[in-house]
Amino acid sequence: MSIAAAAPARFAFGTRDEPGRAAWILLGPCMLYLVVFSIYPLFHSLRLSLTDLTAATGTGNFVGLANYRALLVDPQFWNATWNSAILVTCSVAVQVVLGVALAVFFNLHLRGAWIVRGILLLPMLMTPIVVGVMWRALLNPDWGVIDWAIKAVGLSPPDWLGSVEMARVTVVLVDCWQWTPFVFMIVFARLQALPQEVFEAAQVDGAGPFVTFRRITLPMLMPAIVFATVFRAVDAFRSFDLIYGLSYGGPARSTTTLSFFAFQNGFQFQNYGYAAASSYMMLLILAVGTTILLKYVQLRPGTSR
Amino acid sequence: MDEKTKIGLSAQGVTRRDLMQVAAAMGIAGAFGGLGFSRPALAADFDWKKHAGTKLNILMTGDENDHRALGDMLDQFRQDTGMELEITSPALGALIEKTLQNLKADRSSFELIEYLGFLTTQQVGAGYYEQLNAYIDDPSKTPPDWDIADFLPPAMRNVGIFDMATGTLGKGNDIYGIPGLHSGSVIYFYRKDLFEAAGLKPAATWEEFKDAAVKLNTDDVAGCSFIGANDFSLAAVDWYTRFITTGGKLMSGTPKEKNFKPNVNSPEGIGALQMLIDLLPYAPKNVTKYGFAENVDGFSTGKIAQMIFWSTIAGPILNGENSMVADKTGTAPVPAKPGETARAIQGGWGMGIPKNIDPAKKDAAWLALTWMTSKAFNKFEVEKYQIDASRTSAFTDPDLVAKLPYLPDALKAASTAEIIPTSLIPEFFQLNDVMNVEFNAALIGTQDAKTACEKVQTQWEAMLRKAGHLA
Amino acid sequence: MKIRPGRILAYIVLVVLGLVGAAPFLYLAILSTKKRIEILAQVPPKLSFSWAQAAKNYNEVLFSQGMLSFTLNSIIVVSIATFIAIVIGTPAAYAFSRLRFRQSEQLANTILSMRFMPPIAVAIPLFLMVKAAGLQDSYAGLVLPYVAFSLPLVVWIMIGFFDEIPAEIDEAAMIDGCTRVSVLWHVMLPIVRPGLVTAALFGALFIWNEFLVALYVIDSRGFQTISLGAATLVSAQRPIDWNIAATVGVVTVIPILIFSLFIQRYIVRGLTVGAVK
Repeated sequence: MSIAAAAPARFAFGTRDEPGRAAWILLGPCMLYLVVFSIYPLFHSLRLSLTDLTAATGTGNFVGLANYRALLVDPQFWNATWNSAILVTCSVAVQVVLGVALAVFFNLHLRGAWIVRGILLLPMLMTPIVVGVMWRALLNPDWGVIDWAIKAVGLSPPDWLGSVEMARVTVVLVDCWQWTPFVFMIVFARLQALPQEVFEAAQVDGAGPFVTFRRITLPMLMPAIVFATVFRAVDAFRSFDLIYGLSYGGPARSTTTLSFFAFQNGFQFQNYGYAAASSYMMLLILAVGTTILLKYVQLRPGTSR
Repeated sequence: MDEKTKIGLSAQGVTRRDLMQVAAAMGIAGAFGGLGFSRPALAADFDWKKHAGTKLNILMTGDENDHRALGDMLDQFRQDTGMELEITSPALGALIEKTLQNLKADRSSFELIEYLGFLTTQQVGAGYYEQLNAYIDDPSKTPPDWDIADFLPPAMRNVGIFDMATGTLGKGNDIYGIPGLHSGSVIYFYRKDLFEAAGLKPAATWEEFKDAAVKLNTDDVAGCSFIGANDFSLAAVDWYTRFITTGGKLMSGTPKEKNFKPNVNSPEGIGALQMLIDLLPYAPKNVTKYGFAENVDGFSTGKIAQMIFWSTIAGPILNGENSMVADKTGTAPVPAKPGETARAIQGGWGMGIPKNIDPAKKDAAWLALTWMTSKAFNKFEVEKYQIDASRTSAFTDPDLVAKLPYLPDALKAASTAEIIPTSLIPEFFQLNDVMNVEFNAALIGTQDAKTACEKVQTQWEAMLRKAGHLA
Repeated sequence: MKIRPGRILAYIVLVVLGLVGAAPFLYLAILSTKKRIEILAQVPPKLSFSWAQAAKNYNEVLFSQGMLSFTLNSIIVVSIATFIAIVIGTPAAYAFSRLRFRQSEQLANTILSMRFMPPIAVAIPLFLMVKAAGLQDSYAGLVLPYVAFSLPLVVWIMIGFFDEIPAEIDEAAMIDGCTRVSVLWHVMLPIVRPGLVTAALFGALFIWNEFLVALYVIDSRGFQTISLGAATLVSAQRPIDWNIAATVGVVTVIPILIFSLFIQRYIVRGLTVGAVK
């Protein structure tokens, strides 16, 4: 911590030790912008969540916490919460393992690897709707090329999006296809920055590659892995596009996540008040989750040094 | 499809020069799209250019071919009226959202809005649209040959007529919307060749439908198909048609009297779902994943022997460009229990003028509306895209019928179509969603028909109570 | 170089990775040259190629549907929004890195947490604001909310970069009489330039596919972005033109392919120096 933290803000303009003033000039525009375009909309939604606004009523009446009470006894809300928990946990776990493996692999610095890396980065940049359509084509049970390939080697293809259990697996698979590259990229960047001497020293000490990885590489990668995990978990929790394009929450609501639930209520059924309340429940879960997390890990990169 | 394009495309092993010619031909087709079709003949003695120079915006569905048809004719529209028209055509969810934003705003960005028939009560009933009677009755505003009596009466009742005093759809004489660009219902599609070879007649009853399915089912062709996925049309087309044509009555009472009670768990309700479950062995293996797209894909590649479906898919199925069974497909009214009228759900769209548009543009918007709901335009839509017409004259036009023999069946379906009672309340999509989820689960095998119907019944009652339609 | 068997194995893995990674896109590319009915009837798709059909599909997507102009719109909106986010976010990040005032930690974390708002919670209010400002259906109407979406990430990445630079550099400059603001402008900016590129890339990455706000704000085709254009592809209640859908897929992948092949080195290098340590 610098001394500035303890120094009271002074407002003499033009002198050089005026951290208060400088902070205002430097921070002001950013804070103002976020207050207007992020905080205010959130308050607006909060207000909305206390009304019974639907497309039918036109103007909503203030109903207090009725929407929240209704949510807490809505089995579909709990179903969606449960689905979100499962899908996010599974997707992120797989992505972290694969992402780290890829990072270690690309750290071999093979020639031409950058082309493959470029290809692997594509999925996360793709328009979600296109991802959904592409996978519906690939997995099409009648003419999709994946089922054809599985049949060609004499196996019977799984019921990708048709059964309750398999649909969840498929959503996880596609989410991993799309977002493992993100984890990979973050971890790879960290790996690149690690001091080479440590590894050389380990080699001199006669440590095998596995020991080196477990004892040296992995601990040093931990901050990046934690970062990627948190980032991905929150993103997976809040996004609905993949479900929208791929399974539309089905079958039997087995892939209806909280964000898709909120989307359906707001967008498809025009129950704006109820949808706002469910998105606030999401915010609440996020806030609690990140607060607990922040107790244990430093999200902000600079302060961990 | 433009003739020139067709010739160009059929040439295989093309050279670069050929390609450029094709591209040129397509450019031409793009610029003068629809030139080969009957140009809407303009009524003489009517000033079409009265609002020349006005710029209008229309919000319409991007899910059907309506926006393509209108897009093809934009140059024509410009020539005829001197007005500019900008088309915005999102998919359904976005369309509804955008429509509501605009209707509720101080000023709508769109002078014309196309709305789904199921939402007429929600949107027209809330008083968002301009009443049109005064325009229709004014000969200086409405072309003489724009014959309102020509619109299909069920379509008119479904999207046009609304009694504000009692909040009743289809009652009285007040008109708030015009049917179109297209309307339509559900018809029966079957493979003439397969039925003939097996000595079968197209199914007129649900027993015959199943018998044919059993008999025609082979490894390559499924005996029948239906919407088995968690999809809007599972409830609205396949279940609802079977339900009402076996004597089912979806709702009793009215929302107004707060006794709007569902009968999903009635014997007819359970029976209709059971019919679908019983068809599973003769349907495509993946039928529980079949939504709209998969059924059209399956039928048009010759893998399905029969199904009931929105008549609007006549385009993809009966058009040789998109279908391998174009000349082998027959149509008929949907099957029904003996003694019941063959009928199905009323689909289709309406087009209206929001009240909150620039008042100076209202007459221009009406003029544009008459142009795009004219007989000539209706005929053009049917001819080029096999979109279900909303005018009787388009269904009965001798030239069209000769070219598209399904039209009389589509007309019959459109004339007997029934408005689904749940579309009278704003919770329609939510009710439909619940039904699709439970019925799809029954088809997958996680619950039986009775359980599924009971679950829907319970959930519907709860939702109707919450919304105040049921005491 | 000595050839080791491990190395050869690694190259085999690399090639397989590349092929598996590229396969879905190759499949899309093949489908984009077919007729709709061919896609349904040929399993697997034949590798025959018809120039005419390909030209027809691509003409439909690029020009008739307007994907080309949607792509341009996306590029314009995302570039401007990212630029503004950098201009506003960089000074803020500098302040967070150097001026450890009270609550600076909490404030920085709060800003970061704004990155995690569910879009569904803010889309409608943002739209109402844009509308009230009369910016509906314009580039500005999209740029304003997008700046807010990329700002948290930009600030956060830039904090990492500034933290990398020893504080002695600023102090030296301030002894020479510079103010904080002029230190940032004259001394820091040249040093953190790679950081700016990284922050800009990340900022852009997460608004490139934004859909909900665009859906509300944009009415006319003239301002539609890629995600809006692609959204008209799928709707449950109509047959899907698979060939056109595949063509749209290819058309939307090409710009990001170029982006990721030629920019990824910058991303990775940027990340190495700066954030996420």
